[in-house]
Amino acid sequence: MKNIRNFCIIAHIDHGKSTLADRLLQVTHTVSDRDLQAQTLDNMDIERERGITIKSHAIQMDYIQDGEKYILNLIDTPGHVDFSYEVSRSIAACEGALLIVDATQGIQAQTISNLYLALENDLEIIPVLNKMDLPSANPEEVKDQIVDMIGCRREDILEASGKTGLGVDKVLEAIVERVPAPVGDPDAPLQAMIFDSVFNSFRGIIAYYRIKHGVIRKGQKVKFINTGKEYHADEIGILRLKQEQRETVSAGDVGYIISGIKTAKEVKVGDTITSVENPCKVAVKGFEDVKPMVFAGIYPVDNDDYEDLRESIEKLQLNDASLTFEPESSMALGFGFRCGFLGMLHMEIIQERLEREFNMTVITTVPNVSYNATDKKGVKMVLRNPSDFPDPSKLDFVEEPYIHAQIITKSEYIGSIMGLCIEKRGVLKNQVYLTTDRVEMNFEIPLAEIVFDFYDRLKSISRGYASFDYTPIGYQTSDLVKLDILLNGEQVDALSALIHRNNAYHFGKKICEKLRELIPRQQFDIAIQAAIGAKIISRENVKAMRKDVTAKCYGGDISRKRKLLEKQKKGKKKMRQVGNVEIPQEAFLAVLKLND
Amino acid sequence: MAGIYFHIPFCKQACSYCDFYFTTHQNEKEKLLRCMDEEIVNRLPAFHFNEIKSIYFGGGTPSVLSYLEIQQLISKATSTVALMPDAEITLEANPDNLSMEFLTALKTKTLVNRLSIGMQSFHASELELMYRAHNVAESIQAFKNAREVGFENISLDLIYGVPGSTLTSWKANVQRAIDLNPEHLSAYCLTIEDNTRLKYWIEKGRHIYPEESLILEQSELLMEMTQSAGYEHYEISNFAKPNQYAKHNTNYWKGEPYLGIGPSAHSFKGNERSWNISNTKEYILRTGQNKVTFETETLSKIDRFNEFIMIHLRTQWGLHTNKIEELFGPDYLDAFIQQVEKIDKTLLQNNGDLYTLTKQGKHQADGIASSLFLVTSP
Ligand SMILES: Nc1nc2c(ncn2[C@@H]2O[C@H](COP(=O)(O)OP(=O)(O)OP(=O)(O)O)[C@@H](O)[C@H]2O)c(=O)[nH]1
Ligand SMILES: C[S@@+](CC[C@H](N)C(=O)[O-])C[C@H]1O[C@@H](n2cnc3c(N)ncnc32)[C@H](O)[C@@H]1O
Ligand code: SF4
Ligand SMILES: [Mg+2]
Repeated sequence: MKNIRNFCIIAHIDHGKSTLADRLLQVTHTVSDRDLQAQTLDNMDIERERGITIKSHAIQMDYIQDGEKYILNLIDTPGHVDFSYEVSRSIAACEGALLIVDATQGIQAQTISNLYLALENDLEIIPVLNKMDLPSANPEEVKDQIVDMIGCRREDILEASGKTGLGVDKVLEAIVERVPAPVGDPDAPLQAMIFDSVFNSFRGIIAYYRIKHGVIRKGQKVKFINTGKEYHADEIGILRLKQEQRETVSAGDVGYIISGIKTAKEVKVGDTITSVENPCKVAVKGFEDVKPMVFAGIYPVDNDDYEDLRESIEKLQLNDASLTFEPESSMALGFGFRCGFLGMLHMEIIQERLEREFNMTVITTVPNVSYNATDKKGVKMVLRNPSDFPDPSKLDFVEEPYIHAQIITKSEYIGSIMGLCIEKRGVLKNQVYLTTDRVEMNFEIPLAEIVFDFYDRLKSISRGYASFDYTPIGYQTSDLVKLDILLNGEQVDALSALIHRNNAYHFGKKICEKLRELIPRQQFDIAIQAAIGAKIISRENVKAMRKDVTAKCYGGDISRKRKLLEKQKKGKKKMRQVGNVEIPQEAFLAVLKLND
Repeated sequence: MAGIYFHIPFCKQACSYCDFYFTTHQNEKEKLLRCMDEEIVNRLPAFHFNEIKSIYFGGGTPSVLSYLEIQQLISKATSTVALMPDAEITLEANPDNLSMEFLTALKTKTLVNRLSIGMQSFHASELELMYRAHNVAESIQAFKNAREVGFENISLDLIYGVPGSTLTSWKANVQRAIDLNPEHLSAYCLTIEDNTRLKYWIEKGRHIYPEESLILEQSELLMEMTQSAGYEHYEISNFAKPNQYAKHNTNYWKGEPYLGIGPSAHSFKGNERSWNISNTKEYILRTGQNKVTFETETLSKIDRFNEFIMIHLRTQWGLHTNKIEELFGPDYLDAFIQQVEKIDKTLLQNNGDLYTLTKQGKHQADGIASSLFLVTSP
C-alpha cells in the first residue's frame, strides 16, 4: 500500500487537465501510442465532440521510480461549473490533487472553487503551471497568484506542457514524493466507498469504488450499507484503459465491481460496500445529494414512447446521479417527466445523450428554478413547475433562490460586467484586486437570472476574459408571476413560465414574436397572446393560410406532388394540438432560442 | 381506355416562368423523332392497350413540328393499336405558329382534332413580362384562323396572379377569352418555379408577387365569370362547356393508363409510374444503345390511396366512399371516414357518400388532401 498514490487532476475549464493526463498515460505506457488520442480519457462521443470533460474518468498507471514500482490511480475531472459535484466525488477517493493552472490565463473562478474543495478534504495540492509552451505564457505573474492563493513555496510550483510533454517527468516524481500513500488496514473488515457508477448495456451496472480498509474478493458476498442490499461480487477488477479482472482488490486501491445490480436506484454514489460475513462497523461518510438547480419538463415526441423514455432516463441517472426526475403531465404534451439539472449545459447534455445513446427524441419545456411559496394561511409549498403556481389572490409571498457569484476578470471589463449584473437584478457585494489588472467581483444574484443567457453574455462582453463560479446562498422574496401563453384563447401549459414581474413584458413580447415565426399558417387566423392572469401583455397574429393549392396536376406532377403532401402530412402528425391549433415541436423550445 | 402523350421539347424562346423540359434549338429534331418512333415500338406492347382513346402532343411547343412530322407520330402509335372512332387528338400550340397554312394542313392532313392554344394573357405588358413569343393580335388571329379552318374543339390557356396584374386587368383577360367562345379553358395560377428568370426577378425585387388576397379574388372572379358563361369548373384549373372536358387529361385524373413518349414524358399503368430522362441528347444516346430511357416507381397500396385522394379531390366528380371501399377495402374506408370528419364543412362538403370541395375548399385543395392522406396502412 505504501506504493499506491491516488490523485485527481483539477482546474478551471479548458486549462488542460485531460491533455496533461494523456501525457501521463503515455509516459507510463498505460496506453499504447496506437490507442492514444487527444484527451484519451474523454471517451463519450459528446465529450469528444464538444472538447470538454463531462464525467470524471479513473485510470490506473504503473510507474517505476528509483527501481521502486508504484501504482498511480489518476482521476481526470471536468472543469465546467455544472459538473463540480463530479470533482467533489473524485476528491473523496484521493489523497492528492494536481491543480492545473493555464499559464496564459492565470487563476480563474473554478481554479479557486476546486482548490477549496480539495483543501477541505485535506488533499495534498501539487500546483502545475500548464501550457508553458505558449509564447503568451506568463509564469512569473501566475506563480505570484498561486503563492498568494495556496500559501505554498514558489519552488513547489511545477512547470509543464500537456502539449509538448515538458515537465511531465517532474509531475510524476512529485506525485510519488508529495502525495501521501493511502492509509488503511488491509486486514480490517472491508470498507469501500462508491464514488461513481456507469451503465453498460452488456454488463449492466458497474460501480467504481475506493477501498479504505480490507480486501474485496471475487465471488464474495457483499453488502451496500445504505441500501441494505446484498450481492455476489461476480466480477471485480481495476480500471486500466479497459477494465482488468482481478481476484482481489485491496485497501488503498481503486476498482470496479459487477454484481448483477438491476436498477439504477440500487447504487448510490457515496454508499459503502462491505462484506456480508464480516461487515465493517461504520459506513464511510457519503456525499450530500447534489441539488438540481434548474427544472424542465422532458416529453417523448411520440406519446407511445413514454415508458421507453422512463427507462432511458433511469439508465442515464445511473451514471449521472445529479439528474433527478418525477412524472408529470401536460395538456399539450401528454405524459413526461419533470427533470432537475445542475445547469443549462447539463440540461443540454442530458437531452443530447437521450438522443444519441437511447435514440429518444424529446421535447423540453421552458426551464425554471425552484421557488418557495407561502399562502395566506401560512402553508408553504415548493414550485418547480409553472403549473404549481397558486392562485395569486391566495398567495402571501414567494421566495426565489439566490447565488453568490464570483467573477474574475481583467479590470477593463468591470464596467460592462457591472452593467450585466445589475440588469440581471444582481447586487455587488465587494470587489478585490488580485493583481493590478485582475479583479474578483462578488455579486448576489437570483439564480433564475443566470440560467438563461448569463454565461454567454458574460463571455462576450469580456471577450472571454471573465470566469464565473457560483454557490447557492438561500432564498429571498421575489415578485414572481406566472406568464401564460394562449393560442386562440387556449392556454398552452407547456409554454407557461415563472418569471420576475420586471422581466415579464420583455419576455412575453419576445416569445410571442418567436412563436409567430415557428407556428405555420393554418386554415384560420391564430392569435398568440402572452398573459399574466387575465391581463394580456403581448399579442401576435399568424394569418390564415387561405390559398394552398398548386395549379397543375398532370402526369409528371402527380408523384412529385404526392410525395410533397405526404411529407407535409408526416410533419403535421408530429405536431401537438391545443384547441384547434397545431403546434410544431420547435415551438416548445422557442424560449431557449429567443436570442437567435 | 388508354392515352398516349408525346413530349416535344422545343421552344422558340424560354418563357420567364416556365420550368418544363425544352431546348431552344432544334439541332436534334430529326434524330429525336426517330427515337420517339422507336420508343413507341418498344414500349407500346407492354401497355396492352386495346384501343387508344386520346393522343396528346405537349411540350415544349409541339406546333413547331410540321404537319407531316405530327401525323407520322400519330400513324406510328396507331399502326398496331386501333384508334377509337371518337378519339381526342390534341396539339398544344403557341399562337405564333398558327398560320392559315399550317392550320389548314393540320386540319386536312393529320388526325389532330383539338387545339390547346397558349394565349396566357391579352395584355401586351403581361406577355412581355412572361417573355412570350407572340403579341395580342397574333393570339386573336390564331384563334380565328383555327376556327376558320374548322377546328371545333379549342382550349385556351390563361395565367393569373401575374406580377403587376389587378382584379380589373384579370377581368378583362377572362372576358376576352370568353368572348372568343372556346370549348375549353385552362386557367393556371402563376407558380414561381425554381431556376426561372421570373423567380430571379422576384428575388431581386424587380417584380413583386401579388398579395394572396388579390390572387383569391382573381380566382373567385374567374369562377363566377366562367360559370355565367356556361362553363363547368370540372377541375381546379380547368373549365369546359358541357361535355367538352379534355378527355386526355381526364384520363390522368381517373387513373387510366397512358404511355408517355419523348424526353421527360411520364407514363402510368396499374401501379407503376415511369418517367423518361429530361435530356434530349441522353435520350437519343440511350435509345441508340438499346438502353432504357426511363426510371420506374412501383406504387404501394397507400401510395395509390393517397394519389386517389389527391387527384379526385381536385375534380367536380369528387371522392365517392363506395369507390374507396371498392378499390381499397373497408379498412381504408374507415380510416378515410375518420379523417374526413375532422375537416371543416366549409371546405369539404358531402352529399350522401360523395365528397366534393366547396368554393373555399378549392383554394386549399393541397392542405385538405394532405390531411386525408394515410401514413401507415390502416
Ligand atoms: N498549447 C497548449 N495547448 C494545450 C495544452 N494543454 C491543453 N491544451 C489545449 O487546451 C484545450 C483544452 O484542453 P483539455 O485538456 O481538453 O482541457 P480540460 O482542462 O481537460 O478541459 P475540461 O475537461 O473541459 O475542463 C485543448 O484545445 C488542448 O489542445 C498545452 O500544454 N499547450
Ligand atoms: C408547359 S406549357 C406547354 C404549352 C405551350 N408551350 C405554351 O406555352 O402554350 C402548358 C401551360 O402550362 C402553363 N404554365 C407553364 N408554366 C407555368 C407556371 N410556372 N405557372 C403557371 N402556369 C404555367 C401555361 O399556361 C402553359 O400554357
Ligand atoms: S410556356 Fe410553353 S412556350 Fe413557354 S417555355 Fe414553357 S413550354 Fe415553351
Ligand atoms: Mg478535460
